[in-house]
Amino acid sequence: MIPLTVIGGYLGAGKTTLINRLLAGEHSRHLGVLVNDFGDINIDVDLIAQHDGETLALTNGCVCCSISDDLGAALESMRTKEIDHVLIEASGVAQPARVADYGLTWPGFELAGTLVLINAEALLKQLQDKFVGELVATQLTQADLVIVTRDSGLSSAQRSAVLDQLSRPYTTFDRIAHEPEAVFNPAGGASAVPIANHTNQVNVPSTFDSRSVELPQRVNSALIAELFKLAPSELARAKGWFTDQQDSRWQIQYAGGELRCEADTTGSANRIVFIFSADRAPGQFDRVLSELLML
Amino acid sequence: MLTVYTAKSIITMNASQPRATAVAVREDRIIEVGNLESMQPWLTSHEHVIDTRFADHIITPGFIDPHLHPTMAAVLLPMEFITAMEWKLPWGTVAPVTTEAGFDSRLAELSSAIPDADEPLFIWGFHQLWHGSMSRKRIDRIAAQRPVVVWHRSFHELYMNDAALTWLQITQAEAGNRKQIDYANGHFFENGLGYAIGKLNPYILSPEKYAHGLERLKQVVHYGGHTTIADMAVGIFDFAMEWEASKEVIDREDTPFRVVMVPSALALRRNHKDDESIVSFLQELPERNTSRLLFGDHVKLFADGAFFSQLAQVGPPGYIDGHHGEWLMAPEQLEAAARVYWNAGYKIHLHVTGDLGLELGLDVLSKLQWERPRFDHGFTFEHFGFSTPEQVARIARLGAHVSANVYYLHELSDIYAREGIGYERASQMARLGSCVAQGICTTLHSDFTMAPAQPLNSAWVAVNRINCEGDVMCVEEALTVEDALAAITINAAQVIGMADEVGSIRAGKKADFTILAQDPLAIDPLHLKDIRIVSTVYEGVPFPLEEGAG
Repeated sequence: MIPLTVIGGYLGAGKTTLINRLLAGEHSRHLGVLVNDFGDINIDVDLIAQHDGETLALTNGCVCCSISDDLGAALESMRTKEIDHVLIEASGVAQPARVADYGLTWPGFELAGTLVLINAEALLKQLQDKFVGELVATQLTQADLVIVTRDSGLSSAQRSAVLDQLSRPYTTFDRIAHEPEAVFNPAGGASAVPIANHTNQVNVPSTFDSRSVELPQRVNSALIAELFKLAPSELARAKGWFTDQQDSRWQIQYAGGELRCEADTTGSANRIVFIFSADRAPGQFDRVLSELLML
Repeated sequence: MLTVYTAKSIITMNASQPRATAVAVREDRIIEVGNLESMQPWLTSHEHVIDTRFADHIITPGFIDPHLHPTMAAVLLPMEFITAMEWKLPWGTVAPVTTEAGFDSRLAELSSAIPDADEPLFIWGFHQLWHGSMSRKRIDRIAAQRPVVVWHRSFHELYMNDAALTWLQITQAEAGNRKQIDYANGHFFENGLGYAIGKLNPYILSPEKYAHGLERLKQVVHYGGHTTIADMAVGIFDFAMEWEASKEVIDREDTPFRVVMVPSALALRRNHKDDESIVSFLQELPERNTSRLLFGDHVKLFADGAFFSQLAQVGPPGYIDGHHGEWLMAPEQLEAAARVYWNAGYKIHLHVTGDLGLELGLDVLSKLQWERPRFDHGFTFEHFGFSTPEQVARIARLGAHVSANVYYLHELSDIYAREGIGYERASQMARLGSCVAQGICTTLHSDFTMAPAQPLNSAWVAVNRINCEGDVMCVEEALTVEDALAAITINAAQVIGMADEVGSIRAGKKADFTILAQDPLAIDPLHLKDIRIVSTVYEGVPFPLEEGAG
């Protein structure tokens, strides 16, 4: 079985830039890269071993192939080549999960995971767009790992407004370009992949697979209150939704050391998203959290 | 030599002379329309014959379907139909099969009718609602030796028997334990369907099969009473292959219609680096034109997803279950592509299904009109499923046309009311009465194989707005019979850029006629779809239809 990673995200998120880096990069794998448009692939001519219109073979063993409307045919062609890992560039308007189904369905392949890139400068505007807002929001929820691009010009307030939109583990473009292993195992979680808050260049604690925690159907609201009383100083913000034992729905927000709780009208899934500002050792907080999750 | 056809009545669709009783034809052109007395100046100066074969019938302009897909039809039509709905086809009416047992006995019948026991059999039209659950074992019980492929009515899934799996070399080791392939039941869906099609393509798209399908399409088009159709996405499969097959099968003296070829810009992106190079390619195409295959200044673009799959992009309040439609091109890419074709003077046909797709199309058209105003630009909204009254007014202000698949209303308004978007918006799909009231050039199409390629059937839906449950849906948006006839003749001609040549019966136009047994303007509109089509005349040559056509 050839492992397969889906690279999703809306137009301008940096998918092609990432692919160009990976094709030329240091990772000792023979990559098969399936792209929508050949024209944007930018490879040093010295690296090109062969070019026959639909397929571009590189001297480092990588192969780049145009999807041309028929992803299945492109995948079949990969099966005949010496390829260690296939990357699929999803179209900007595709739902990455639908493309990921190829990894679960097409004979000869297994799904390694899904990356979704976001353009930090454009994200908030895109989410408000009447035509693509829903699509971009959906793409974000389908990522095993979000890669934030074009964030260097943002103020820290702008950056945290962007990060507030993320409910999946994320990392930055620079980091992934230097440590491409996450591309090959996007679902590896925090223990395998450092998931950085770009502001501080620190790691999310290894006790979390993800910064987003799914809660049981009902939780004791007293435990939630206790949890946040024990919040370490590194916990910068948290936002979540839960159903209490009386079946009431609540939305909680934690910021500046204060917990606010109000009746939920959004119908969001039961989960809490934590944002930490620095690395730290597990403590009492983590024990209460595990207790909460086991109920 | 002139030929004068007389008729009980001629519906000309020329507002200056709506009715006549005789039409004089020389070779492929109409010379004079009126009555035998009024055309005496021509008749006394030229040799002529009076042809009375249509004397008891009604002559209308040859019907035009401005949007169908010969390629898709060529793939479907060689298959055998077992469906819950009756299909009238030129080679016989397919009786509805609505039970599990009925499906099996029909399948057995079809299988035993093929002498070669190894010849693959393709069935289309299965639906679990009527035919029960399908499986590899069930097909094996009926036909074990012959490879059998059963396609779902939606085309989105298929089942195979053991022999078919063996024939296509699909093994348990390869295709077992996959998310969208149920190997045990021989069931392939979503991406699994893509895998099965990849295996089937060499057979389905083989030149002989494809040509056979196109031959059948020719019969279907004739049978519907058409003399002109538009292929509204040349290049869906493969531009060069489609062009060669069209030349081979369509461009012949025995073909009673012409095809306006509208290339799909999206499909052409496979072989061209950008839209500018596609424009250069398009500009050369009219040099290939033959008498029956016509490229012009039209191009096809796409906005939102398939209407039948509930992938139309719908504005607030959306679908009942909260799911969203899809975009076939990113909005920015659509705008950028449309700008290139607009500035190059092309008439853009934009596939839109939902009101949010239409909104995007209108926003793009507004921008283009602001940047570089054009008159008579021919921008056409194709399909036109959901819309709002305000959007219809905007279409009119921006000077665009509407080409609607009104059959959506017939087949889907009931189920979409219950399980899609609710009654209010479902009943108002194909908001055509408002289009006509706003003076928009409005036409009807089949998008065959999405709807039967029968213009009188489309007209019947547009006039009566009766859905498959027999309910009248939003009578306020019904067309008059006159408007519906205009939609399948002169307005269709306008939308595909041929109004100077076809679409009405007047001196100077092509002698294209459809001959009807009854007057559509005189009968009860509930019977519009049942009018018998006696014959067509294509460029002055009669092509009769067997009794029972229509």
